[in-house]
Amino acid sequence: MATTILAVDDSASIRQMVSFTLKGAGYEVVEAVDGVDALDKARNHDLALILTDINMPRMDGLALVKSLRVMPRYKTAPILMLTTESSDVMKARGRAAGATGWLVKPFNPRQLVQVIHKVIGR
Amino acid sequence: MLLLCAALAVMAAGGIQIRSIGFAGGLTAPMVSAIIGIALAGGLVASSLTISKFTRKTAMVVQDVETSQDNRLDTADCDETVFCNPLLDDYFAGIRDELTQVDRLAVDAVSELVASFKHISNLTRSQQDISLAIAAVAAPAEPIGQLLERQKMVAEQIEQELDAAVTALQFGDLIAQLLNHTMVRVDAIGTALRRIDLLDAGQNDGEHLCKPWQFHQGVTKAVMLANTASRARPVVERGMQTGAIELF
Repeated sequence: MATTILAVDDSASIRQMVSFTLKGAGYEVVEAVDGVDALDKARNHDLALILTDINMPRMDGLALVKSLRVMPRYKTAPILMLTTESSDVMKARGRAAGATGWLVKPFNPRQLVQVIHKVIGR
Repeated sequence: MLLLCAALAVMAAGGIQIRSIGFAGGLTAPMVSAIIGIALAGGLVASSLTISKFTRKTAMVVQDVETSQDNRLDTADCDETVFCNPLLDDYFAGIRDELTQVDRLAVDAVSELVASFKHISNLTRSQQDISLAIAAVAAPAEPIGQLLERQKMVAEQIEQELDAAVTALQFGDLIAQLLNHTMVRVDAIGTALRRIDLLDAGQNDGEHLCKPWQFHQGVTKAVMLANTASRARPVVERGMQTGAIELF
């Protein structure tokens, strides 16, 4: 059974590219358009990793991480932030919220797959 | 005067309403994306020009009114292409800087896309040549092992080029965010100027204060309000190089 990853981004093009990249690497990908949608998908899937943007409508990425960390199933699951934000302040906020890592856009597909392999422990 | 500024700000905002243009082709039709990218880059250049024209035009209007209505302001200190309010100059310089950044990102991404797709095209042709050679294996010109090795190398190169294309294609998202931010800034200054203009008229029985120092004060207040309303720039990338990765 393929490992499932949740890709959360309000930009359809980014979701498309993340999905294309990860499916090419053999992962199953579930997409969500914002934090609220992501929480809903997280409840209904057994996710090995969550890859999320920060600036999104309804619920942002940091709030999503905090909400996921409260759920027993995702207490220790790897959560990577994929964002254009690169300031140390924002990274510190991500870390405090419970994120596992920080990737600044634009991402390189090969590097993205390598990082995911690493944190999933493949 | 303030209403005029606000109206011009709205006009400028209208000039950059291309943020909703995305690339619908995505990865299923990469060449379509490249074409849209080129069109988008052209649009952005036009938008930048619109904004800079707007700024110059507004500056000239401001100076005209000031010199004709009140000579207390030393207009000799004013550059022909800038406002006489440093805060306002910085504000619009910020907008110009963002649009220049957008322009650079778009041009950079489009160049990379074109180069990547050219490489992919060449590599595909090369693959076809190899396949033809394999098909003619009954009388091979070079040993089959070497052909397979070459094919493996070409496949690897195709993958690298596709990776580069996927990285570059993310420019659409960066541009959308930057334009959105610029729009918020332009809207904020317009709203702030309108609010101050209304207050100004209200305090003076419907008469607008036209004295330069009062106008200067009003504009300063407007820029401060607008800066409070808009959040920090969401995109800092100046080119389409891959972003940093950090594991906590």
